[in-house]
Amino acid sequence: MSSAEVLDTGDRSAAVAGRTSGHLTVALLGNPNTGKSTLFSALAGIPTRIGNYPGVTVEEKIGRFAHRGQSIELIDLPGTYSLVAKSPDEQVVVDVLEGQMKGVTRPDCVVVVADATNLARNLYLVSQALAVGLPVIVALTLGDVAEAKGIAVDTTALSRELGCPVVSVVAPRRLGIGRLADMLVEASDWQPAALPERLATCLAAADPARPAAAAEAIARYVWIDEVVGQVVARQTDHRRSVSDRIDSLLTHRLWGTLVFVATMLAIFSSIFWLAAPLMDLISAGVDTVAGWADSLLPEGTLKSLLIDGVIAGVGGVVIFLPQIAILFLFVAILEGCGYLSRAAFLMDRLLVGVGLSGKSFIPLLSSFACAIPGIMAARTIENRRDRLLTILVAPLMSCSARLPVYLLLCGAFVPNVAVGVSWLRLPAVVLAAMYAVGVVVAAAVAFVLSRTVFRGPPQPFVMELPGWRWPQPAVVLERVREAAVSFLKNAGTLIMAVSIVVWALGSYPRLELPADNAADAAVLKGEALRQSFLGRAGRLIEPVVRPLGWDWRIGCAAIASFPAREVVLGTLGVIYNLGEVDPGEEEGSNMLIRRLRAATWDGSTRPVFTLPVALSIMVFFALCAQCASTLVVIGKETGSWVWPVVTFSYMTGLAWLGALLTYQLGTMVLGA
Amino acid sequence: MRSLEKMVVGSTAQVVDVLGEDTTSLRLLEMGLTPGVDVTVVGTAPLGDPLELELRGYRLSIRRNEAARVAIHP
Repeated sequence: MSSAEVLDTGDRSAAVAGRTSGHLTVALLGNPNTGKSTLFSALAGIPTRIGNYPGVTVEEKIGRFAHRGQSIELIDLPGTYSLVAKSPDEQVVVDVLEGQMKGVTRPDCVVVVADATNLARNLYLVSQALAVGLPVIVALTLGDVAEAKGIAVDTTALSRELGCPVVSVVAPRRLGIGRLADMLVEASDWQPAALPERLATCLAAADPARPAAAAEAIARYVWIDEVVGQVVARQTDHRRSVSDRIDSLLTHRLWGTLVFVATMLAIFSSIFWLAAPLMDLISAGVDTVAGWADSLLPEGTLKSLLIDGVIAGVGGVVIFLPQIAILFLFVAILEGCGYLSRAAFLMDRLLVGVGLSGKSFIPLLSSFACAIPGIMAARTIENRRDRLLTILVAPLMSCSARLPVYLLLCGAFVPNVAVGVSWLRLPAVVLAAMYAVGVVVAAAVAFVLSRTVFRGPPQPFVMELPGWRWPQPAVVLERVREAAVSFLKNAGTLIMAVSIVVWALGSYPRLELPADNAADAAVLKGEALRQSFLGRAGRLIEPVVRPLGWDWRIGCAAIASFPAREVVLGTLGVIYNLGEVDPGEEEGSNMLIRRLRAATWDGSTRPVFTLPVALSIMVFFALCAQCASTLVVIGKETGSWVWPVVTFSYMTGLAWLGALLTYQLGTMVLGA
Repeated sequence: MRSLEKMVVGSTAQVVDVLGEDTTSLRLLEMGLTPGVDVTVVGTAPLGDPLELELRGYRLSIRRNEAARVAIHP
């Protein structure tokens, strides 16, 4: 009897009888941190479909592979500890297993991934999976780690106790993969799994005085303790493995904290210094493309649109790819070695103090490279209130796009004096201060919001701390690839659109060329900008930015940066008549710095850029929501356009206030 | 009846019960903190919260206010 016939539960609207077409659908179920991703990679390689399940923020990951003539679709279900859903995201797993998820075929069988190093807790999910009404295979992973810890699991006995096949796999070494795949192909002819008799007895003996769910949970563990007693043998005198030693170091109250701080610093530094040579490469590439366009195209609107709009805009964003890739590389490595949870554990108390939780740590940390992956990483936060709060303050973490502005202004206007020790210079201190501004304001915003608009019961922090394990290159590289591809896709669409719009606003209305064309092209460009919509907008808002110490040109650059702050340097370059020179390159930025230093208020010799002005610009950029892509992602992740509007409004307001305070206090303290 | 929250770091005790009937208590039970199981308090985060526990062969972190729901013996 095929399992498709047995499972006709009536509502099969989302399910398809796959097997009649030689196609098998397998669900991969398991606790988090069990090596499920590695197993997925080993079986199916790169996923063919990644996206969101409809209506929730949980990631859908599906892959395809062929084995012995069978085409197999593998659904990597989100890691979960129980099939009793306590949140919409956990409900997704149940829905897929029951065939209630739109667009996803009901699986023909389930592979439950169980971690041999702590079989007891893993068997909880197995015990629930056995009741789902599908054939079940248990894949026992991390056997090598278990062995190193002196834990031995008798798979034959386990299979007997569970009433279903148990396959030992060591996915990184592809051990057991072939056997598992063979079994999957055969599973299509199996009966659905039946509840083991002992389990049924234990469940029937559940305490009726307790709430049903609690009584059931306790009853399951009674059964689990019996099974584990039969099946697992622990050596009491095993040698401490390398993993154990690393574990002790990482969990040590002093050393563990030091390792944590060192790791975070290393990640930070790498994002900036390691990425530099790669970014130069990309910059050179973009210039080459611009050069081709320049020589191949005739003068005119199209050429200007392409070079100054599209190439400059997209190029300015693509240059961040190395930083995004490096950040995701580190996050994937930390995740793979089990360290992310430990980071959340260490940071929880601090974050609870401002109304968040330890789980917000990684999304917020990621936002230092780019808020977009950071906001997407907030999907791991189950509690909706906490997730929303994290998403709302994530853009305040100074992302890498702000760095060029900080570097330019710190380099140009902050005196290069030593602070305390000779190697610590004031510009570096100010740079660090700008990052601190974002963090402090984010903490304040979270604190206030969590006590007013987002009051609510505290979210539970029941979280597994996986032991140290060696990260799997295949899984790590896959994460980096996913992040890079989605970033580039975004750059190719929204950023390109935004760059074109900014270009248009800066180019129209067109400047009437004087009869004699000997005027410097750079000066002409500057004049053209003044006459354009953008220039006029800059002059229009001058009264609003005067209190910040800005003149209309700076206001112009700020407005142009609203859709994407990356364009600010290019815009400043145009406003200050740099022409063909690229402000992002050293020579270009030197020229820009000279021009900025020489810039004066219209009709006077008073310099525009003083230290307080530079600081107020930096504070404005630190706090302002100048990234259309981020706002779009916030809208997608929260499912409502309200939150992007709220984010934009509060951040712009705070940015203006912050810049005002900085300038006014700055001129009082330092003199104009 | 003593609670898990008051346990000294490094000591081991046996769970007697998990109080409360909301999802947090259910989560604690599902993660293996069931009556009869041995639990050790391995340590705490630098600021004293959350706690790091060892039970059933793995490490679990819970906040003090969650640990307060777990009655232990001795």
